[in-house]
Amino acid sequence: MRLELHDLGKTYDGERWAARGLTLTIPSGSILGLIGPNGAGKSTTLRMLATVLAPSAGSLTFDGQVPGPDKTALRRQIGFLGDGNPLYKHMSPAEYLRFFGQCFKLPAAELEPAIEDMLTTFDLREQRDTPSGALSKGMRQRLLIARCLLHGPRLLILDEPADGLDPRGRSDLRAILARTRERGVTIIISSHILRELDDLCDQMAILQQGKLVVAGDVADIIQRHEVRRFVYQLRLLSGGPAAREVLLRHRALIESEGFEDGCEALAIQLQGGEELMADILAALVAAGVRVATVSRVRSRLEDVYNRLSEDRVA
Amino acid sequence: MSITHPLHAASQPFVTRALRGGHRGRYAAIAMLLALVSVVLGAWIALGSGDFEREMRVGMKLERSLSNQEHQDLERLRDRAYTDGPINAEVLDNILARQLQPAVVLYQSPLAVADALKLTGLLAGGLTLLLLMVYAPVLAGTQMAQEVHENTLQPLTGTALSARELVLGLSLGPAAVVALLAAPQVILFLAAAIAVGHVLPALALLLVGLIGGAFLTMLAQLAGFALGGTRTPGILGVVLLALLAPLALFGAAFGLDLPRNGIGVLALIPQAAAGHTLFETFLPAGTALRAPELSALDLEGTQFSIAFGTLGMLCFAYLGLRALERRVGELAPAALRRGEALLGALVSIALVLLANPWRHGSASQGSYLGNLLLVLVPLTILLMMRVPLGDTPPALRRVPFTGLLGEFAVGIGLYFAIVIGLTGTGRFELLGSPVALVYLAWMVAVLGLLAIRIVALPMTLLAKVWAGVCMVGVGVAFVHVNEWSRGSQWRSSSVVGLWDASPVLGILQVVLMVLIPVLLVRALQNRGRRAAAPE
Repeated sequence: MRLELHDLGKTYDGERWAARGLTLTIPSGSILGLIGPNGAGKSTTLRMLATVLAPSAGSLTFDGQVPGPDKTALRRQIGFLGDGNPLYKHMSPAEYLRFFGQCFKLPAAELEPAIEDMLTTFDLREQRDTPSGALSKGMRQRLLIARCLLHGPRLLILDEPADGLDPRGRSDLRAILARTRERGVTIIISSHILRELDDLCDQMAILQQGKLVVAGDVADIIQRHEVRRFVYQLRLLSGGPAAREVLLRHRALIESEGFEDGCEALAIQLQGGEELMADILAALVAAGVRVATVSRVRSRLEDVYNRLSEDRVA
Repeated sequence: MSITHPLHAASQPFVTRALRGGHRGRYAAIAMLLALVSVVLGAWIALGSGDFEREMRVGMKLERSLSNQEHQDLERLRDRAYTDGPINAEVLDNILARQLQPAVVLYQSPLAVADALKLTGLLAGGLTLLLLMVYAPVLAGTQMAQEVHENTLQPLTGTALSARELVLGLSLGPAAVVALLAAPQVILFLAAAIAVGHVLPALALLLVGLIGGAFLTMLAQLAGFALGGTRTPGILGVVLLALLAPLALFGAAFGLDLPRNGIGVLALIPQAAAGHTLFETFLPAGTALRAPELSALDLEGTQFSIAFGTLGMLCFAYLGLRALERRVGELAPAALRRGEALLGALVSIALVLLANPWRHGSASQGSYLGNLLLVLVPLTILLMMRVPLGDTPPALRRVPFTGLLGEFAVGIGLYFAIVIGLTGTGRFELLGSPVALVYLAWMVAVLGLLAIRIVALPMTLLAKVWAGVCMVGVGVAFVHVNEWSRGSQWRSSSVVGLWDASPVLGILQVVLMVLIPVLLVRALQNRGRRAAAPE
């Protein structure tokens, strides 16, 4: 599903705008990362896109169509997880999914297999009959996301979906979203944890104080804002001075130095891609430097965000 | 193939949710227990031979007390003594020997099995009405408040259910629970009615109970939706119970001792109509046990009142459904359309006029004003439902209060037009008193503005206090309308009534009469605050 926003805006009190002047196009089948600090207007924007909040200004089209007064048919194609959506504490995951499946008018023949599929996909089979109030936060969050995917939507909107998930849960969520995208579903996901969105999103939009700072293809944005740099952390067992000479030769900027787990740790910034890093690594080894680990420290999205905004994020 | 039938689509998720898991079994067990209670209680009270059962029967006027019987026997003896009639010396000796205390050698209930069946039927019918007209609205209203309070309503509005299906579903879920609990009672009630009662009133009771229950359920859900965001659902449930339970008891008491001049009330209060039909099933009015003074004509009047009132409640239930659907689905700024509000106004006026004994020719000048007070309640609620809300911020919200006030005034004008049309202008001194008319206009304007303001704008603590002051002003104005529309001996010497009590109070009254409407209008007017234009 393709979305087009034209000068979209929302005010709650007539004076301050939670979101204003939002103009962008979200291609069908893409994953858009909506980034911004708390209070930037992400949740308001997502609620407008999910058609549960009427805009105060501008327009919104879905596959070129402006939503009419009756949004029932459109909402069948949308799976929306807002912020603060609680569960029914006394309903088990199976009951909860069955309830929403019936609300989406799934026939019984399709509903039960879909419930089993969601319980399996989101690792909730063992808790299928446990009251939701007794589930952990991560399980509750997985259940909420499962509810959004149960009816096979064409547009999936998730507001801070990784909130409350442990690292494995986040990894699983990324895998699920990747698989969902392969089915042609357009995904809009907001987060202030940029590392989650790295390598997942092909579109991004950055909000600051309700306004769109930048939006578009991730690669284009990185190109446009000259954020083509990589930051790596090196842990050296020995050969620190020789390592510094190699890095100087390759014009790598040492951002920080320290010790970690008994090894000398250097955070370096490169003006180049992974090929440059591979060359540097080969040169270090050739110079006799004993490298314990090499890892990339910060995501490209965070680089863009830090360049463009005043606030830092995790 | 997806589920397409609207009622099925609406009911399936919510009924399934309400009766999921062990809930169905528990409700069924409770239902059977209640049925057993009805049967056992009915048989025990009717046929039991203990003192407690006898006292119960005496209290329910199913049996005369023994002391009354003895007293009447003694009176008969006394009368015979005065008339020189034959005296049963043995009876007199027994009474004197027992020092006028009744003695029972072997007591048996004077009631038969058929009476036990009637009592069981009465209990089953009463429980059915409690479930339909108390428990169902409380349950539905509390659940709606909970959905709003815990923000679980928002995901539901994003599903494939239309707003109407969603609202129907939210009503049908609790209704399924009530249906399960009430089913055995209904069976008992109907069986008893067929065996020893009257079937038509029994069927009328079920109809009145269902429609009255539907109306009360819609009302409770509207209250839950409006207040769920700011009040805890439990509190709302307690308040609903505190309002509906006494009404149900009043209905039962009123239906039992139906006064002749209260027949019209059956149209206005569904609980009274339900109580009457319940007793009509087993204890018809006009018999020795119940309302013996009612004639056949009176009883026809009850049927008309109940039928009219039931239609009225059906109309209100439909309007409630439309209003809730628009609010939940945010389909329109106002909950009711103008035509719907007008329909509600006409039905309200008709029900109030039918209910008040004034229509029977009471000469009281104030009766039509008393009716006006009654009519103002539903008209004010209808006005509140005409106020446009939606998602528009209060500062941007253009409240067309002059148009809404006009609609409110039209409703009141309709009331007077109908009343004058029925009785002529001869009885209305109000029309000949400019002072009364001014006070009436002020009262209507302030009440209307206040109702609009309460709905349209946030109510701070100060606003609530001010609303209280406004309502006091409305009350004072009504008193003045009443006194200036009656004979001159009722009027105060000054147009400003409180001046007679104290000049200071009089000045205060004048100031408030100016200040109240002005401040209300200013609160509702948009002073041109607009959002900053986009850069």
